[in-house]
Amino acid sequence: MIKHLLSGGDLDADTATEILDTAAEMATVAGREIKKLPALRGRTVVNLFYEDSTRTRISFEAAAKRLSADVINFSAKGSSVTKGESLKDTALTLQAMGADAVVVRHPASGAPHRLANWVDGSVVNAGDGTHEHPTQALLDAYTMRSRLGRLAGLSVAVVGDVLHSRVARSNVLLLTTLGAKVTLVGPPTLIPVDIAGALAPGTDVSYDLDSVLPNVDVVMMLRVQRERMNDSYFPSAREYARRYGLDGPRMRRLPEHAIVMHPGPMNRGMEITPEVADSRRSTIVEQVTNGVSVRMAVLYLLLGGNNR
Amino acid sequence: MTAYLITSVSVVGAAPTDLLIRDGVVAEVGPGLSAPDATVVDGAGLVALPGLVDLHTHLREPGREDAETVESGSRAAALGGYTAVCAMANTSPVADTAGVVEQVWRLGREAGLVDVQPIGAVTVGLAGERLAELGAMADSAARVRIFSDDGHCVADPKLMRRALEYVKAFDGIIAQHAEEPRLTEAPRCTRVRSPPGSA
Ligand SMILES: [Zn+2]
Repeated sequence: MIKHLLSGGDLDADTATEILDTAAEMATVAGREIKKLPALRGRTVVNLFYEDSTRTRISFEAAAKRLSADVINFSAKGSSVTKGESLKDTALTLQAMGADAVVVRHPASGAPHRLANWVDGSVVNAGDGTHEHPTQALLDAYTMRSRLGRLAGLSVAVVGDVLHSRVARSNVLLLTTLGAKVTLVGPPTLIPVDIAGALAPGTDVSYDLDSVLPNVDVVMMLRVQRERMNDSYFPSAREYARRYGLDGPRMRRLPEHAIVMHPGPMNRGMEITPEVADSRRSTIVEQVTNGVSVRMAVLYLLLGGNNR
Repeated sequence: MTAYLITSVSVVGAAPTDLLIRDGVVAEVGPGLSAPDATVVDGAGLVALPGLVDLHTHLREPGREDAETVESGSRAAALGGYTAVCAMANTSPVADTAGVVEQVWRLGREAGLVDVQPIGAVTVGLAGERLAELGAMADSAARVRIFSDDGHCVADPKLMRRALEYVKAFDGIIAQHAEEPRLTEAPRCTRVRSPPGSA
């Protein structure tokens, strides 16, 4: 098992599959009356969040607690961080406290990689800048596998603001490793020109959502911030929704079995309409549930819960 | 079925020959053609050219119909040998929405003399601040592929970059009047003259 989880590209197919299989076992715990395993009793997991993300933090916290770990939530707001303490000093503090794992969310791309050099415990990247969010990619892969029964050979469209999306990058890396084919779709302003070659050869780029939809098994809609139009990445929310939003008529162009995913939080009416978000194809609620199981599996395996 | 026989005409500067046109299509080229049903046009001393395309036209409609209309501009273009004109966006309202470009395109079809292809504005109101709905204009009945702010110029380099990237999605092009207005604005000397008799 690897020591840290920093990138979707850190995982080979066997390791990724082991995480997904372990997550499936963890999911059975959620169905029990007492949703708790003793696996990480006495271990300390620190949630170090330099950005507000209640959803992700709560998911990691639930995962650690179901494994009986002690959880320390370290929010940058109102802490010594806002008084100018550097990431390195914070790392040394966590080290002194004996953190076995540090789950870090940071606005700077690469911050978790730096942190991994400074602490003895395992570092889990919970989202760094516009770079990566590997546990999101794992929970997405888990969700696809549960709904469609496999990952190898799947055709996955990732649609929207790829330029600013750590979810997109981690998904391209992980899904390609697991044998799926990814097509990135969006306005050319929001898709870096070199992305397919830089991340995973074989990744396709399209600017035309309608031509992609009939041939995919999965369509993953990324959150698109309305404020991007103030920087002219697209002219208006209306035009964005018309060209790249998933609405009912577009959803009906998908193959019968295809699913619709969204990492949340959604901009209803922008990248996805309520009709689609609430349809039977939508996996949005499952993704949240699966997120806890996958994060349990990641913490369990990184902290060697399986060899104790 | 309409037919025209143009006699002794020089096709793009070559030696004079005859040209038979049936239903708007060149049916035959060569000396001594005859076609009893055709209207004969004497082309002696004249040159036959393919239809010309004007990439930079101002048809002024909507908004300044006193100066020019799509119909009057089309008529002038046809008379000058043009079969297609691209109409700049500085109308009133500005051609920065699907509604306006479709209006201009339809007026061109109604005039029926040349192909009128509207050019869409790059920015809302030609103001150089925010991208206009280029995709909506591209997807409209007018199928706009050329976008320009013409003399207003897209002077903001970042906005120009976005526009160039954005139109890649539908094979559009940006036609730029390459001028930075902040550099070309003439320094002016203002002097207020006193009315005669005051002192
Ligand atoms: Zn002009």
